[in-house]
Order: sequence, then C-alpha cells, then structure tokens
Amino acid sequence: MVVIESLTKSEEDMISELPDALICEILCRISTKDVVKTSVLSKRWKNIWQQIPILDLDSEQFETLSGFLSFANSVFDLQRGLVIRKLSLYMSRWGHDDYNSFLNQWTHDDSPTMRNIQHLDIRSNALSRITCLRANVNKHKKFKIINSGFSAKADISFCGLCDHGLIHDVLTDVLWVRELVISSNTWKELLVGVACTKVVVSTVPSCLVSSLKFVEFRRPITGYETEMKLVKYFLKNSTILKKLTLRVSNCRMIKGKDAILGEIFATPKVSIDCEILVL
Amino acid sequence: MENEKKMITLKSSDDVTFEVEEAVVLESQFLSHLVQDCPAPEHKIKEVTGKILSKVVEYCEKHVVVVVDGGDSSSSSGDDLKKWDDKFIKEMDLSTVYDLIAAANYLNIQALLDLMCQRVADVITACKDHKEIRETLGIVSDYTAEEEAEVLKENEWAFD
Repeated sequence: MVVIESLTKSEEDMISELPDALICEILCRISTKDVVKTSVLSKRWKNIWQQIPILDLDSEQFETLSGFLSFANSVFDLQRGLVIRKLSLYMSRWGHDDYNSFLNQWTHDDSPTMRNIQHLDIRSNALSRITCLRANVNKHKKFKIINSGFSAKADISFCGLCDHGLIHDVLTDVLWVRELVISSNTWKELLVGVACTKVVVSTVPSCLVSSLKFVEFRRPITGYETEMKLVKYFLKNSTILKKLTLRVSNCRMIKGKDAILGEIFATPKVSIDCEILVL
Repeated sequence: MENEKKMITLKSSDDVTFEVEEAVVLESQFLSHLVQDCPAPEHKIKEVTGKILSKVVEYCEKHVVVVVDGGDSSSSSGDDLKKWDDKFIKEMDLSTVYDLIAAANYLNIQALLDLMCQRVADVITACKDHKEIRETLGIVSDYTAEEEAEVLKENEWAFD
C-alpha cells in the first residue's frame, strides 16, 4: 500500500527527479528568500538552495541585524570555495558599524569567498562607516558599489586584467571614492591583452571629478605602455587629485627609471596642486 | 536557392524522424558538433523522445537565424519571438517543461534552457508559500512534523 502510494506520487513529482544541476538552473532565477523556502519542500530539497551561485541578501528582509549577519555569514561559509556568480548585498537598515567588520571579513584580499565572486554588487546607505573596501577584481568580475554619497576608500587589486576599460567601469560605479589604491601583479597581461584604442575612455567617471583625492599604485611600475597610460589617465582626468603615489621598479624594466619619471612628470595635470610621490 | 539547403534527419529514442534544415540543427551546440564530426544524413538522439524532440525542433525552427542572399542575417523580430515563446510555454504542462529542460541541457540549447527554467521559476515565485509550491509541483513532503519545524526554524526569516 505504502509502496504503491509513493510510486504514484513520485510520478507526479517530476521536478524532484531532475539532477541537482538542473534544479539549480531553475532556482538561480528566483530571489534568495524564495530559494531558501524550498528547503522545507522535502528532504530532497533541504540543501539544494545552498548550491545556488547567485545570491541577493537584503537587510530589509530581516528583523534584526544579527539575523541578517548570521545568515549571510552562514551562506558564505557554505559557499566557501565555490564560485558565486553574483552577490548582491543591500544594506539599508541599522547602519551600524557591524557592517564594516562584516564586509571587511568577507571582502579582504585573502578571503576565499571574495576570490570566487564574479560579480559583486553592494548597495547601502551605511557605507560611510566603511573606511576601506578591498576587493580582487579579475577579468571576469564585475564590481559595483553604489552608496548614497559618502566617501570611501576603495582598494582594488586587478588580477589577470586584460581590459583597461574595467578600471573605468569600476570607477564609474563607485560614485564617491576619496582614496584609490591599485595593485596589479599582471601588468604584462595588461600589455598583451589590451588594444590601445580601449585605453581611450570617452566619459570621465564622476568620482574622478568629485571626490578622488588620493591614488596609490602599489605595484612597482616597470614602463609598460598600458601601465603608463593608466598613470597618465589619472593625471589628465582627476580634477581634485592631491597625491599620486608611485613605486618605480629597479629590475625588469621596459624603460629606464628616468624615462618613466620624465614621461610622467611631463604629463599635463588637470589638478595643478597634485603632488606626485615616487617611493 | 531553396533546393540547395542541406537537410538533416533527426531520429528520436522512439524512432520518430524529423527532417530539418542544417541551420535549425545548428541552434544546438551538441548537434552542431555531431553534424560536423559525423556527416551522416541521419542522427539518432537516444536521450530524447519523439514528443519532446518535436517541441525542440519547433522551437529551433522558429528561432533559427535565416541567412538570406547577400549575407544579411535576419530572424523573426524580437517582439514577435517573445510573443511566440510566451504562447509556446503557456500551452505546455509542467512535465513537458521538465523534459524540455533535460533535453535543452543535453542538446546544449541555452536559449531554450533559459526559457524553460524561467517558466518553472515563475511558477514557484507565484506561489504564496511553501505549501502552495508543494501542491503546484506535486512534491510530497517526507519530513516528520518535528523535522519540518526544525527546517522552518533554521531559516525563519524566509518564511514570514
């Protein structure tokens, strides 16, 4: 009797017979909140939602800040090592400093979660509290921070960056950045992968005009063409830039140190007071 | 020009045959490779039944990009295609949708996979709670009452 009943019912329930990967294909089109609900459907569904590579976490949906943070933390723990195709964080309530430690914990350079996020989208009115947001951005990643107008420091490391346009995209999305730190360990790839025309950027990101005061290149400059273009780009476009910090490499240089610095200092600066500091 | 089009025959697991233009077959990544690697006039697709293959063929024939003389490519306009897609899925029961998801995945037809998955996603999203999802999809809970209460409590925020 029981056997017959379960047979009839399993025929009806065809969706549960799809492989996990295809159920995930369906669920990644549903908001995280609705996806989590599927855990209660049956034992087959209990953990499938944890494999969904697209997450949207909205603090509005939680009654308490700790509820939001503990859910987000548990999801990140579960996703450790997996690729997150898109993570959208909406942090609009509370605005406590807790967001700061939460973000710093998950977005610092060595965080395994961060390395595996392909598209990060943060919207918040609490970002004024965040002094430093660090992220690795590789060529597959999209990176977007939208806040409501407070200045923040963006610390962006470009890995495997082949498209100069990406820097423009990042800066366009970051509306208010006071301080920008750029480190890239793959300038060579930049040179190989980039077409010179791509360096020409038609519109200047608004943060270059309205808020960006400090830019630091952490990686020593060796004289690659794209690298030089990027340095000059800031000088030519950042209207209120106060300080541009550079390091110049002593080994494996494409050009001599003097030639590099000569070229940089000869570049017309749109912000006349800008200091160029060479470490 | 019409009679120069290369035709290919697809045979389903239950031996229903479909004669289609090569361009239609190219909508499927899997079949494109199959046709290139093995230029036989007929291909058996063991994993897909005639009922489902007829739907796949119908979809691909509608979505195929027609290359007309002079190299311009054209296909049905975006709006028309969308209307056609809407009608295509509306007339379909969920069990056919699941079969098409599996077939589109196997044959590697991304647009069809997207369309079908979105259809199921819309059905789930339209449900007001998990009980309605169960009812709609025919899922029977094998949780005990205690287990179910525990799962509900674990992610309480999602079940308001």
